[in-house]
Amino acid sequence: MPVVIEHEQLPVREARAGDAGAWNILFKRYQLPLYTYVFELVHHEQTSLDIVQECFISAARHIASLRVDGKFGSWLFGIAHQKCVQHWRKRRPDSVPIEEEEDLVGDVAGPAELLISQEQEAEFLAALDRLSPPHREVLLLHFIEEFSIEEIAGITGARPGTIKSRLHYAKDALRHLLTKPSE
Amino acid sequence: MKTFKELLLERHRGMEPKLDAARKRALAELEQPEAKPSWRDFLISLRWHLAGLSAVWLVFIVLTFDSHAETTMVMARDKIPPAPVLRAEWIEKRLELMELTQAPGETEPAALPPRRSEILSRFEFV
Repeated sequence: MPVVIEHEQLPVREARAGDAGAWNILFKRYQLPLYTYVFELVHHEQTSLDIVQECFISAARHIASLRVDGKFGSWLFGIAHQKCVQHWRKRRPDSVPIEEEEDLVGDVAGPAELLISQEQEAEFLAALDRLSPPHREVLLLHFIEEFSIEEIAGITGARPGTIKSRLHYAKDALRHLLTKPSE
Repeated sequence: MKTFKELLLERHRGMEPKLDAARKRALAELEQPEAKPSWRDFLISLRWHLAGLSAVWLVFIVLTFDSHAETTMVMARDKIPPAPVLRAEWIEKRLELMELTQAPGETEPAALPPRRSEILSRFEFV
């Protein structure tokens, strides 16, 4: 099990003061979740590693723009989101997968609700890949770091209603897969 | 049974050594002082903006001069008097010029009275 340090325990204040050790702790804490998020969006190993490294450097250089220390995680993922968007723009300028859609009122349960059995794993990951990038992104942010709707809205720049709608749709799609009787 | 988070993180756990290396590279880069951009770099970065602005100013200046010249020509054309007046003025000026340029005594005034001796000799012959 990965060691998860609570936001309050993260040495953000020390990092602000330029403490290299503090940055090392912060980077180590977020490197795997950040890589997972980026990889599941861009699907390329080296690009994902480059983006993670760029995120770390950008975070250290622009730490002054972080207002609340407790929001370091969502702020860092916001940087990663921007880097992914830049990557998509470079690849195909007309295919940046950011779209607006109608807000739906849906219930959004906690991140721990989806449990996947060993037999379902491959199918589940394949289903995740079939989701559109905006839906996948919202789902990843919600489950990997347990960000709230408002935090995800802040990371992606979309409205909270849109995030709620995307999350509802994505979870429905995955739930449908998990409740389907195995053949 | 696994949660979504566990499944995803386990899927990428094999990347940890590479992520450690990326983290160390990032930390090493942060330890290097950030190069401060010089004035030269700043101006070079603005070269296209400066070129664009210069072009705009050039067009503006050319258009301003052009419209100025046109206005001056229109004003001059409006002030030209009709041809007969011009001709009369020209003759008058020419006469004035001739008077000024002729040396004194070069022409005798036509209505000067004859000399007294000439008048007397005329009477004598009669």
